[in-house]
Amino acid sequence: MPPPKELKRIDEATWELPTSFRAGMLVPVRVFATDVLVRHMDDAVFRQAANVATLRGIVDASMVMPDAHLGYGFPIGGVAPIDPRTGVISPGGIGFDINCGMRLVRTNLTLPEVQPVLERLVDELYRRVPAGVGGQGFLKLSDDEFDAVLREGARWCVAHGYGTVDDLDYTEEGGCFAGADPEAVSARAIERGQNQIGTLGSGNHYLEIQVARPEHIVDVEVARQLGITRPNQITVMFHCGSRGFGHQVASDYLQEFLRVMKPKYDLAIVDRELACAPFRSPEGQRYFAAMQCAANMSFANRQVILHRIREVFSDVFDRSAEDLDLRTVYDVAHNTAKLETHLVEGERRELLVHRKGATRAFGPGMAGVPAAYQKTGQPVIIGGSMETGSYLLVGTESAKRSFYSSAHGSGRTMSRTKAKKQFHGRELQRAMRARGIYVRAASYGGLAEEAGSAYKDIDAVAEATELAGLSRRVVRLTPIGNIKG
Amino acid sequence: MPWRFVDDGVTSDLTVLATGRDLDEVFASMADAVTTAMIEDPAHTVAASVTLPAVVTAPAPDLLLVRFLDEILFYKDARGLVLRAEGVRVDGDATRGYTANATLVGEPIDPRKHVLGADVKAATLYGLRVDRKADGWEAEITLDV
Repeated sequence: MPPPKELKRIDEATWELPTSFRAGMLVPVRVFATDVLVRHMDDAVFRQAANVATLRGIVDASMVMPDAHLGYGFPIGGVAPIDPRTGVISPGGIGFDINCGMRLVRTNLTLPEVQPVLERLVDELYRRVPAGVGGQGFLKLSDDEFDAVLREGARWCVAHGYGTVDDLDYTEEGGCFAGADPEAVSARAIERGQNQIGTLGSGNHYLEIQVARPEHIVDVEVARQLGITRPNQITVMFHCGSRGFGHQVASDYLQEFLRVMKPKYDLAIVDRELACAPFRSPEGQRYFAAMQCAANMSFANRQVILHRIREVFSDVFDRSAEDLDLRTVYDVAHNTAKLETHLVEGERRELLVHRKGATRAFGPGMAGVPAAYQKTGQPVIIGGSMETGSYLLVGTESAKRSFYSSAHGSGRTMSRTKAKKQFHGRELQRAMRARGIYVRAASYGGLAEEAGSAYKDIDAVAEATELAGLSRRVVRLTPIGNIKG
Repeated sequence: MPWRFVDDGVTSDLTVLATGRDLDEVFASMADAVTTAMIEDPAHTVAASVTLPAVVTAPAPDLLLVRFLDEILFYKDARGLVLRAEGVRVDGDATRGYTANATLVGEPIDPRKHVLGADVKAATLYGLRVDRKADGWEAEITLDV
């Protein structure tokens, strides 16, 4: 389907759908993408972004990132700044997998050192980081301990020996959303999540060993400041979230909001997945507190996974993690809603920025960016498919046009069902091995679904992201080992 | 009790279409689809060593379907179980609301025994429908994986 005829090009990588596109739109839709990406976008993306533009309290625009594709309520790659005084909070604008995110870890190892032990590394990681259906973590937490994790996130992990203070410094929000309240979380959600810390999940979640090839470094100086200093340096990237816990929180409140929004708050929506409540209402505040618990659970999940990665590398190389310089480059969320201060028409305003499948991308000098990155801007991670690679970028001042939001991935173009028919998991594994990528998967069906051809061109997404001014490329990271759920 | 995954469904997830003579059959088919998405051929590979009752209520059949499937997903995460639904019975009407009863039977997920598929995390409201047709019922749901 071609994009809607009402879509107007503003500049090389910016487009707008006016409020006249559909009834009830309070703001326009702003799409950040190149001509090619716009032409290949799901038509549902435009429809869903226009639906988002009808939400009470939305400010400036309903925004679409370059990797956008169809989601539930919001498109994945959707951003909505909402006035918290008058507007709503919507689980559909955050996603079921609350604080699904990416962590990039660097090492001082290079490809020639890792190549001979790659299979052993991947096999050990596969053994120690549970992936796939029913995977349960090694941490057995009491009710009180899990409660503490929900309040403290990755800070709890570091306090209990699963990481370093340095990890927290390089995690968005220091690895802890401050407003988390476990009282707002159902017993059912707690029961679902209590055994899942330290697990990867399945779908598009992965743990990958990568190499920063010299020819793929776009900005040598910024790469150096982010710790990518050696030719063919090895990095580890992983993508996961709040597992069943976050999904239960989202499902619980979606259903609660559906019950109350019309009779209690006279809120009408055009899609049930946009169920919402006024942010300042008791229901809205409870969801916000529960969502932050899920965000913290997710930070803890990624922190514990990093602990396991350190154990594995340390064992395989018979050197300490410190000696291998296994350090967090950055951990960034891409499914959240956060209260932030932004400049709107010359006025500083507090806004509840919903980012679903969109990465916060603060520019140089901004509060919230680690001291070591004040000159470079916040690292932004765009995860690609297991065959093609991923990007490390940095935030820019020009990203104010997207309320400092950026792309998060390459975005699927083919359904899982179709991909499973088109690709064969074992064959794909063999073909990737022949190309130098060693993959272990909990499910061969799942592996087939994640074939690189089922995704958009990651280079095109990263290029569009930079052209639109949302963030700036630093290095493309190529996979050599991968674990899939 | 036929069901199938839809080729052109939501790109990042799994869309299921199921039909049946009555809601009992449609709900049973949907439960089978969810379990099959996670474990290959559950009818022949999942033993019945655990039995759990499932009773859910909702004001409408579509929301009832979501809550019914959530039961299977809950036990998968909370207790590591793969479960099939047996004896599914759906009762009710628009005035009284709807209830689904079933017996969930299965066993702990074991990657050495079961061929794993996708980890279904939620039954969503996207494109959700449970419709009465001339010859029975038809339902469509998208599973978040």
